[in-house]
Order: sequence, then C-alpha cells, then structure tokens
Amino acid sequence: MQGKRKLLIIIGVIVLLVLLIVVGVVNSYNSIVTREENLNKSFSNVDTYLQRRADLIPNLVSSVKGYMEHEEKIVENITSARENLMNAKTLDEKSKANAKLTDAINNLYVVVENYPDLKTSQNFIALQDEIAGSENRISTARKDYNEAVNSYNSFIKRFPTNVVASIFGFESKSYFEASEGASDVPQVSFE
Amino acid sequence: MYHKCLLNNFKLIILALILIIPTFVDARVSPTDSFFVNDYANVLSYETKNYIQESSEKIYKKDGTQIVVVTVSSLDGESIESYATGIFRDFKIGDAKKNNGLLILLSLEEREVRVEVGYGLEGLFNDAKVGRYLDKYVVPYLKTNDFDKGIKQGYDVFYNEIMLTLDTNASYQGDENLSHLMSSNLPVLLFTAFIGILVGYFYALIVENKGNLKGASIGFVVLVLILSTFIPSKLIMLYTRCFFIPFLIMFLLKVLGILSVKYSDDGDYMKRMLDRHPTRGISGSSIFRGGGGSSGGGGASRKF
Repeated sequence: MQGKRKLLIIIGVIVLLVLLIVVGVVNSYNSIVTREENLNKSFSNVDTYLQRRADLIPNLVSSVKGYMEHEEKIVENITSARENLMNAKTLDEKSKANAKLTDAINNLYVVVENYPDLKTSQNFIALQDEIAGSENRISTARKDYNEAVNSYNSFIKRFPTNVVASIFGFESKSYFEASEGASDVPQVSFE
Repeated sequence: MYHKCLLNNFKLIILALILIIPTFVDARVSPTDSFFVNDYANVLSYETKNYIQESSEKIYKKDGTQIVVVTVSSLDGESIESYATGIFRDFKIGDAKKNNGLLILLSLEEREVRVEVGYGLEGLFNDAKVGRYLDKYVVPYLKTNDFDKGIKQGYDVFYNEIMLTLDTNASYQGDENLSHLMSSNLPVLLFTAFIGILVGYFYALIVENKGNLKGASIGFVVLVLILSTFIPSKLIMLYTRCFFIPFLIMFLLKVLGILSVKYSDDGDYMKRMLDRHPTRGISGSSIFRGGGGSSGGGGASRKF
C-alpha cells in the first residue's frame, strides 16, 4: 500500500513536470512567433516609407531642373542615389543607400537657398513637405523596427526561451542602423 | 499596538514603492485632466482654451476624433518630430481602430510648431497640406508672438475641415464610439477583478487554513498554469503588475511572520489599485483620455 502511494506521487510529480515543460515550450514558441511577426510588420513599414520617398524624387528633380541649370551634378547625385536605393536588396544596403539619398537631398536644399523663386514656389514647398514627412516616417518606422528587433533578440537569448529558439531555428536579427546625417530630418524654414 | 502600527506603515511604504516605480519613465509632458488642451507654456488665453476644449469634446463625441493642443516651454533637446510622435503615442490620441487623432504642438524655446497627424487622418491631411495650412494660418501670427491667435487659427482650420468631412459622410455615427469604449475597457476591468478575486481567494486559503496548505498550493499552481496557457500575455502582464507581485510579497512576509494582514484589508487594497490606474476604469462623463490611437510621424513642422 505504502509503495503504491509512493509510485502515485512520483507519477504525479513527473506528469506535473512534463505538463510544465510543454506549457513552457508552447508559450515561448508562441511569444517568439508574435515578436517575429511584429518585427516583420515594422520592417515592411520601413520599406513602404523608403519607397514612398523614392517615388517623390522624380517630381522633385523635375520641379528643380527648370530653375537650376548650373547645378546638374547635385541633381544627378540625387537621381543616382535613388537608383541605388531602388536596387538595394539587403537591410545593410538599404540603410546605406537611404543615408546617401538623404545626404544628396540635403545638398540640394543647401543650394536652393540661392534660388529665391524656387524656394518660395508652392509646388516646391509642397514637395519638400512631402519628402520631409516621408523622412520623418522612415525614422519613426526605423525606431519602431529597432525596438522590435531589440525585444525579439533579447527575448530569444534569454533563458529558457533560448532553448526553444535554438530547437526551432530562430536566429537573431540585425538592426536598421541610422547612418550619419540620416538621423536628422531637414528642417523646412521659410523666413 | 505601536508595533503593529509601525508594521502597517512599512507595508504601505512597500506598496507605494511598487506602484510608483513604473510611472517614472518618461521625460515628456503627460496629459492634463482636460486632455484636449495642455498649455504647459502658458501662452493661451482662457477663452481660447475653453473654445478648444469645447470644440474638441464636440468632435470627439461625434465620431471619436481627438484634436489635442500641447504647448511646452522646451523640447529638452529632442527634435520636434520625435517629441510630437512620442507624446502622440503616450497620449494615445485618436481612436484605437480609426487612429483619427491630430496633435498641434508648439515649443517656445525652439520656436517651432508641428502638426502631427494620426494614421487615420493622413488621407485628409497630407504633409504638404499641413505645411501649407501652417504657412498660411499659423506661422504669420507666431512670428509676431501672437501665440494665442496662431494656435486658435490653426486649430480652426483643421477642426473645420474634419467637421465638414464628418458632416458629409454622416452615415456611420451614433453609439459606435460608446460601445467601442465599453468593449475595450470593460473586459479588461472585469478580467482584472476576476483574477484579483481568484488570487485573493487562494491567498486567503493558503494563509488562513494553514492545515490545508498543500491543497491550496497545488490549486494555485494549477490555476497559474491554466491562466498562462490560455490567456494572452498582455493581460497576464497587466494582472501581474496589478496584483501578483504585491500579493507575493505580502504572502512571503506573512509566511515569515513579519506581517499581520487580515484578509478584509485586501478588498480596500484592490480598490486602491484600481484607483491608481484610472485608465482601466470606466471613464466618467467629464474626464477624457486617449482612445488608443497612434501616428507614424505624418504631418509637418515649421520654425517661426
């Protein structure tokens, strides 16, 4: 009788332990998947806004061309930076190309100061607002994405999630780096 | 008697610490009680504040759109874009599903103004349009330091345009707003209360019936297991923050024999917890708060 009771207790403990492990694994797996989805969503937001800004560039170029005949180099830089961004595949390439495009646009804004007619034209102001808005959206989306990456990475490195993550092959993701100059949105100011 | 009093104070201090810690995170301003007008820089006249408050309440009651005005004396080194997005999300301006929020932010020190548009209103106000409105209606007054007029004019343009669109597609209106409010807050409240009662019940079992400690402990473990499998982790976190840690600490103290808490205390304790988190209660008629909206950085900024 005594032995049977002992056996029951042991079985009970084992069942409880197995249950605990199963619940833990299921829970971790689901949490990882949720975080990964969140991360993918944030990344596609970054992509959308990069695309949105790139789409505005041809308009900017054509509206600027009529005013600036001697600044072909700057305009060319913008066009080629846009090409690069459109062709970029990996995250790293994208973030570099994005920073280059931002620099090229900022160079243009500096030169525009010398063209009062262009600077005050409604069309140009509207375009500038749209581009600044896109840049700001990119930086917000990038911040969100990096937060998602941070939460995901630290989650799959923590015990006991790391065990589950390695069993199911979840790997840590890389950040979308803000390259130099890309972090500040150009201020539109009309005195 | 004195001894007991001292211990009760000790208990209160621990509870206060647990509750206060999560609130000291943000350096940005937080919403005032009136929610729609937050004049931290003290640049708006009484009439303007009243006007904005009344208009915003009116449009909010109509379809949940929230137009919020914030003035600050300084951005503390942050860019106005990220500051605006930050408070937009902190305030949760606009409805959670429609994201129909609009924020007008003015900073005195940097002499900058920004209108941040929630996702749901981006179609109505694209960035170029916001910039144009700022140039036309707001910046000229701000340049002459007539902040009151500038903000009011700007507010009016956006308010009138939203109102106009609401009136033209007046088909979907009515109690949607109220029902949404109930559906988002009530289950969370009920769930929290339910968990609180359950945990409290098991806590009482464990503490009061020391003889049946084993049974109660197993029951408690099983309950936690079931809850953690079938209930979203967000709610679990909420309930953990609200009830679990304080109860755990109280339980440990009780086991160690330091604390003499009667079960009847816990009712008041739960009430205090709910009072400390008013966002989880059902909102009263005159108190407004964010509807859960967000923004992705749409809008335009100007220096003046």
